[in-house]
Amino acid sequence: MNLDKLQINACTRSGWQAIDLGFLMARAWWRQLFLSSLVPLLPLSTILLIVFSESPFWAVLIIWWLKPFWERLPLYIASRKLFGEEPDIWSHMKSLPLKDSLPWLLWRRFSVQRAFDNPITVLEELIGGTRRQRLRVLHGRHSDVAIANQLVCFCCEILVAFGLLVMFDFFTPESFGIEFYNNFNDLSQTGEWIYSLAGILAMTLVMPFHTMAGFALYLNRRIELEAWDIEISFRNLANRKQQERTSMSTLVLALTLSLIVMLASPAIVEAAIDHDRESSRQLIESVFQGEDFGEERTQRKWRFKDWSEEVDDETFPEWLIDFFEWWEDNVDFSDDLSGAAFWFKILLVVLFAGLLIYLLRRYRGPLSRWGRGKARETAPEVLFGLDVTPESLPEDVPHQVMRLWAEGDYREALSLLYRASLSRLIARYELAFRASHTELECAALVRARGIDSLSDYFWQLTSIWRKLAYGHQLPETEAIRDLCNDWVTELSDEAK
Amino acid sequence: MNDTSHTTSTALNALRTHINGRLIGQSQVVDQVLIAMLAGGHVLIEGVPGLGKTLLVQTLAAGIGGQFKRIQFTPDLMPGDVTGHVMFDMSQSKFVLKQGPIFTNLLLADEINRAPAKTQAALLEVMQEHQVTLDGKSMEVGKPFMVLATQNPIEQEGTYALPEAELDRFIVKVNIDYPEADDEVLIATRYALQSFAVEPNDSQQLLDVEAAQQHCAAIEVDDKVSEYAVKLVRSTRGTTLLRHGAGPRASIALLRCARALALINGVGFVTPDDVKAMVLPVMRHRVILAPEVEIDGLGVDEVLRNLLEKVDAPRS
Repeated sequence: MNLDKLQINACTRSGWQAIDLGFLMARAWWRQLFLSSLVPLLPLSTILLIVFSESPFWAVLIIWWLKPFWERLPLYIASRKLFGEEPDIWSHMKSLPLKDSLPWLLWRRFSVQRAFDNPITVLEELIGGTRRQRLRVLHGRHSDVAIANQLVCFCCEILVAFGLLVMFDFFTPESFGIEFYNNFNDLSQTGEWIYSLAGILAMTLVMPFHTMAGFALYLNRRIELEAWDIEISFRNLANRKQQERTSMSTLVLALTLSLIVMLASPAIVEAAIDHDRESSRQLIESVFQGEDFGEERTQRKWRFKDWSEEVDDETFPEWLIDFFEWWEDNVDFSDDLSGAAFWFKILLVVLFAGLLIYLLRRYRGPLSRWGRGKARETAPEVLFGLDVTPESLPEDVPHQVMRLWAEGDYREALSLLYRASLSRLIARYELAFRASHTELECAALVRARGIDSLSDYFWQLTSIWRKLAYGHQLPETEAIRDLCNDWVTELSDEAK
Repeated sequence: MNDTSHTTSTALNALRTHINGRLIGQSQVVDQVLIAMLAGGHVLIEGVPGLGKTLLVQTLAAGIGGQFKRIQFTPDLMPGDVTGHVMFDMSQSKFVLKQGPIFTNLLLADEINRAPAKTQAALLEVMQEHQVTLDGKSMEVGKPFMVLATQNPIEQEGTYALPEAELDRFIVKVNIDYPEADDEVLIATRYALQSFAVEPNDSQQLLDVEAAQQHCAAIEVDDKVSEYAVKLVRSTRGTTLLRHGAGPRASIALLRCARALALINGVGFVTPDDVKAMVLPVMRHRVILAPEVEIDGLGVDEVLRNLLEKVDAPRS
């Protein structure tokens, strides 16, 4: 198993996402998967249909019963495709493991997680106690999704089969006199044949999706248990580091190692390796024998919830007794039912108010966020290589800008004004600028804020900044003065 | 921006308006084709049939006062059918050269992926060198020269995927999509009564392409912007999302296209916005998705947008 060649993104997914991935795999590799299910199925179906030509339902029943068998080859092929191999269906069909077949055709035939469990038999080839142990680990998650997969695919099979029947019905001339929707007992032989063919076709069409969904669940569980995603990340990291290493460092390392090997006599080296091996073996054995290793324990027990105060269930609360006493004294149902209706209305209003309070209390978190919109990210301190913290700005920004401009430090002056504007926009208007945003994207964010004068000012500043920074075109001093004056109006502390 | 550049920009806008007046609802495609023309490159257009690709090229050819030819690529098309061939003329008792449709200014290579690799390769030399070698002699094709090749994204049966070397020759890949509902109403009402053919008054030359290309090459690019373009291209290489990143030719193409965009916008210098705007058309055909990303259902444009978010834009 070479994880470098893994054709799916090794990341932990939810069970339903894994099912999606399984369906995607079935679509991506549909040619090989359908071929691998058809290669064994087609000849056997033909033979069975010929043998049971009088009552083809028997053929369908046998084919259905042997389904765990048909699913093995597509699964095997998918496991090879998963690592970028181009499997040969014929050779794999010959080498397909057949062990553990009998249980799969007897009591395990009715397993509701067949597609999820099948990889353990077909790919890991585990049987008996080892299989049971592995299953226990595997079923730690996604069992419910695996059952749902089986149920949904079964329903899909039925739907597809009936869809095919309806299609046959639509395209068959009435003169043929075939009754499609009779009871099974009253079906003609042609009807039976059509039902059987529709059933076999539906099984063939749905099988790859069912198998791949189960396989994806199995993969997802293995990714979780064996941390494939972390291993792949480490490998990528190692590869990148490997490339970054200079040839000089490799040379130095090689020379050092050679020197050590040359200086040390072979006997010393051998003894050192032996000693190292022996100590490692002892350490491993001591870990194996340790108390903490290999112990598996499952504890289940009932416990009370943490009640803050004891409630005596056997006595009614005082307020309830008071309420009913008041009710008895004041409410009279003898006159007519209007009084009851009134109190019933009151009860409904109280219940509704209670429900409303409960819902507001229950969803207070999302509701409070809804009002405020997306939670604000932490304001950045450095953007585009510029320090945008308010503390980094001079006391009087326009004055400082004009001073730098007068000294002929044009770029520095405009850069300060631009940086100061960004800093104020972040601090005051909570604009979420990102390092990847270009000048016009930043200006568009300001425009989206909906303050026209501020937006016009920032567009003007951006335009002049772009001309200077990328076009090397010096703006007029008057334009800079205007920008400084407008900065006071739009973004200075007084403009708050 | 000096006066001549300003005149070019005005002429470009006139041409753009003229083409948009005939090809309704595809202004983005028109812009990208004009950018490719100014950058001296070729365009690969991907879209379903019937979206006005031929009309676009016809109108463009008329607008630049150039010649237009079209080749429908089929599985039995031979290289000689594209470039031309030498044949024996019985009447003159000598070999004469018969030039192929490639000797033109604008060549529409319709459904280029339907022809086998051998015929597709016949375009390689002319796309790179702007010349064709026939009977051992190199002959220059028309100036300006531009290939607009089309691909149909739906019907993939019986097609030959373009090799990477050829894909890299296209400066941009343009995705052409269905027009908006309002535009489609306009198209339907206008062309229900009128033919698509270029009208006589359309043949007025609106732009001198060679002069415009020279102005385009003179557009100023700051070092920081060049670095930004290279960073964007390099970001496609180290990522696990892509099996194959874009090469240095992509950096060159990106800057050339950014220059052309700046010229169209009437600006005498390239900004990071121009570079960023051209990333998708320039790079989408030069990268190959990692298999796992493809299986997860992500597209090239999504991955490139994701990478764009990870590259810091310059500010000084």
